[in-house]
Amino acid sequence: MILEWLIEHLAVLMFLCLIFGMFLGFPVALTIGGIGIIFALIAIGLDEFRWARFGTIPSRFYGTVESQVLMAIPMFVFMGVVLERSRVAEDLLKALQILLRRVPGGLAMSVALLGTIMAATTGIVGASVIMLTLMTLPTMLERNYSHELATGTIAASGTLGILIPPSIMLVILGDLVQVPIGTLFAAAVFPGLLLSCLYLTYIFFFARLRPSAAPPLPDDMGPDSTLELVILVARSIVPPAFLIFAVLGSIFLGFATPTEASGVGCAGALLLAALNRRLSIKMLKDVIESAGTTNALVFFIILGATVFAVVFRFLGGEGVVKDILAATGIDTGWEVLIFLMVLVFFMGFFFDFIEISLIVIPIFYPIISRLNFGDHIEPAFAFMPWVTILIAVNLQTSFLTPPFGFSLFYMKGVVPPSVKMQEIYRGIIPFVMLQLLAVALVMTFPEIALFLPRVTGFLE
Amino acid sequence: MGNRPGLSFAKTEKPNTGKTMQSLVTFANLIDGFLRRLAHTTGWLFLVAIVIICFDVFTRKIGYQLPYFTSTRLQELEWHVTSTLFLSWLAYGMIKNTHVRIDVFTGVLEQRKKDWIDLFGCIVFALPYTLVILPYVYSYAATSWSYWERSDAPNGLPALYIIKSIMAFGFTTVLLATLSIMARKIVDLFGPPGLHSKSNSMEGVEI
Repeated sequence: MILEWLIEHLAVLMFLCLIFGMFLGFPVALTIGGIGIIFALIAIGLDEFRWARFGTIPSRFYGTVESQVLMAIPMFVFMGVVLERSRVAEDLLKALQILLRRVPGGLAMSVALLGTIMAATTGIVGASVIMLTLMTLPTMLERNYSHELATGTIAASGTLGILIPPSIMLVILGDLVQVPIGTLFAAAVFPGLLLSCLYLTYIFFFARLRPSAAPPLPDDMGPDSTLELVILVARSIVPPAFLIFAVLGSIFLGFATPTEASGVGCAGALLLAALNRRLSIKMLKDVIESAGTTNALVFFIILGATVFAVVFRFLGGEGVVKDILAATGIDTGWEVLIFLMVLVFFMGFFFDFIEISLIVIPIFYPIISRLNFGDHIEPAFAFMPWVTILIAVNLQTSFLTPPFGFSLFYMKGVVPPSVKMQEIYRGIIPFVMLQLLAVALVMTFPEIALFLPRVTGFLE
Repeated sequence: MGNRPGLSFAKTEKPNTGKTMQSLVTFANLIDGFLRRLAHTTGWLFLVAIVIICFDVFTRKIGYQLPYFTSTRLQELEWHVTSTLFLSWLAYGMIKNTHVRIDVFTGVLEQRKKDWIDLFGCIVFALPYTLVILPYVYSYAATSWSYWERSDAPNGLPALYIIKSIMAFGFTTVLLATLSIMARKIVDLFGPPGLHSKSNSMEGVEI
């Protein structure tokens, strides 16, 4: 009896063990792979799995090794770290502050803009939020900004990077749902800019209504003459902006594949660092150390998740999801989609996007890829890019939502003690509302995401 | 293998404990030193990959092709390089403790409990993972050697067995890193207080 029950529910147990196992705090990549192997061994004991099936795993690993799509990950990570270490971001922030010094909430707005432009440098959520906090929070506190507005702006802007291309998450998701990376990058541009505009508008009106919460910068800040100002802007904003536009532009216009663009982007970032006189052997070693470990971290989880997915499928994991959906009476396209959104949202409380993409998407892909949104999405194969962008915006929202918000925890780790967790929570709520608004908008008006891929010919 | 002393620890007499523990630390230092040198050597492949990609993009645009390294071969070389890069950094990330952990619940525990979790994780997750997978990865590489496997592309690279061997090697280093971490955790948990496995570990070491 017990054995039969066990055999019947092996896949469900496997999934639950994975969730609890990850909470142990042991490296995720090894936990996912380990759970996969343990359940395979249990299934072998129960005569539900054969040793020979492990034979498929190396060829799946090899699929990751020879993937030209995933190759973009090390390149984009490297490019991001070079830009970060060459202090391009700091110069950029300074220039933005000077430009926006007369605008209400100018300092906060410059942080939001920095988050948008430098989204390229942000591979992993935690790292980008920490970087942005350390770089901008001290200045904002010094200027007597309200703690709520300051922390909310930083957390939201730092998390924007997982959506705005070049985004590592979109590379991973694209590989999983078999959508070209160029299509996803193009689809993410307007939703990302929409969010950025929503943030800026909110900051502007907040600062207008409560000037004491966002004191303006001193008027005499920055250079005296207009010429000097122009030079400053040209030196600090133009090069990184040009680099990002060149990388994305060459992808969108079809000049280069994302992988090629990422490699050329790395060379561009190195050139930029050299022009800034920050390129040295020591700096390169630092960059390699940081980019190498980040890159290994991503691929280690991909390999572990491969093992898990192979075993999970042999144990009938996909049937389980279908059974759950059937048992709860969820069957229409919209219901399944909303179920997926809610699931991803809750998983975002605890896991980074790498784990969520690699665990949830392979399970749901067979189901969502068969959904029919015929009247809502044209052409039919534009459905997957749209859903992927929805998942991305949704995850971002989830990372910002108290009390668990992933980004908020990272932020709390580096703020001075004068900033309370309650203030961070209160500050982020308006931004969470804006995020939810964006999710609703992209859901209702798919063209927000699909317009750019359509005009660049990715949807033909 | 060097992990034997650790396994027989429970039966060892008190005076020998220090010696056993000392050899565990030496064992872990040897592995970590090797993994560090490996990663810091292959790390430069980042630059190699960038050069190959830029060269390929540029020469293809102007319509020039190298005699042997045609564009197809260069593009295959690109993923050979980037994959070697990540395969040789997996283990280094383990000993440097840079792989993602979900520590919302266990992050607040005292160090000793965290050490226990790591030892448990190594035995229950990491060892079965690597020990079960390794033979299959090796036989996968061996098959490739057995018929001198070439690339599927008509004018692709002639030796696919090399990258498949690197894949097997990468997983071997993951096993080595697991053994090194286990050795250190055993010393931290059961060793004499004076002997800190951390003393020679990777923390704060520059490239």
